[in-house]
Amino acid sequence: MIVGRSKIMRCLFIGLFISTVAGFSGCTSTYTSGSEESPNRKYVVFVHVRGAGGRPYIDQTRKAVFISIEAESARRSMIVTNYQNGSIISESVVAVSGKTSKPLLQKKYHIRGADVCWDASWQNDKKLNIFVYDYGPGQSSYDARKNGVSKHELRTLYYSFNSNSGRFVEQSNK
Amino acid sequence: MKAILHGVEVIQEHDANNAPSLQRWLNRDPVEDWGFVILARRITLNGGVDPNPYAFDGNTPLNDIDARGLSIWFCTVPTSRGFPLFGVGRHGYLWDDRSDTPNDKRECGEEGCSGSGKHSSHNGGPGDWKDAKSGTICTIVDGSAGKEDKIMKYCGTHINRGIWVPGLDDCQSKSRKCLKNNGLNPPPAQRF
Repeated sequence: MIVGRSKIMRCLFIGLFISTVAGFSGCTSTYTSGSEESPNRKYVVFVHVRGAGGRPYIDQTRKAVFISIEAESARRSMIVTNYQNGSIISESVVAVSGKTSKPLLQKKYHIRGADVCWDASWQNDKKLNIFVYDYGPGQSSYDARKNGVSKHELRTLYYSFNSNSGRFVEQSNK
Repeated sequence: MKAILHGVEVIQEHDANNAPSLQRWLNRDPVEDWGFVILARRITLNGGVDPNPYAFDGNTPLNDIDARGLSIWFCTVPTSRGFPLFGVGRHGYLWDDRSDTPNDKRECGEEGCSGSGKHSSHNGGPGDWKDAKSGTICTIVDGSAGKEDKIMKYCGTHINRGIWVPGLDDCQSKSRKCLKNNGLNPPPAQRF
């Protein structure tokens, strides 16, 4: 009886593991991300672009673009050096305090494009434009930037700070 | 070392001065600046009195240039507490710290295709710790200087290949593969 129960548990575990792996096999994505500070370094916009599941980022696919604007916080780092027999085997930079601020704006968009890139330009500390673009199907941004290929606009987003709510809001245009 | 300078608390880390109240570094670190100097120091310590000045670019100074002395870092950060990893293990990604890298291409990695993107989005790295979560660890990839574009481009096209098997073929091991397939040795990194 005990053997039977352990067999069932083992089968359940294996089944769960296989279904998890199978579920995620085509459900992982490549992402790229970065940030841009406002002129007075009070705010920072983070843009995270997630490619389609199971596909290279450069493919012409529907991508998820996550935008968040946050008040910038202090950051600190330190070097950690690992020695072995008097020699340095690795040297790392470690973040010792991170941000905890609440986002002043969080948005998600779906944009179809190849190697989706973006330029964030702060007009001032309270106005931000994000130009989302690619260089055409099959074009890597690394090659295109070197070869001076022109940008293909996918979408331009406008945000401004609302002093009443203390948050950023999206604007339909400039 | 801490000091008060014109009423501002200044923390000296190596040869750079950080003013927490101003939320910025007061000067660029002339000795311990991330990138080339760390490499140069390591080469000196490991290589003795005559360090190879071209070790930073894999002994191929004619093929790979390193105009600014910066490079690729392999970073890990604790995973989020949400599905599917529930805070177990560390997420791995590649980070390009060059000052002339467009900000939209600082980080490249693999993640699950569901969720809000918060669990692995806008992580930090050397030169840009704005959103680095506490516990983020970044280690420089030896020999990556001069190959940054190649590595990050490769990451964009290859990191999402193959099935996701936690611990065997996941974000960390795929980031490592991106480095290995470009002839580099991934640095040691924590899994948990």
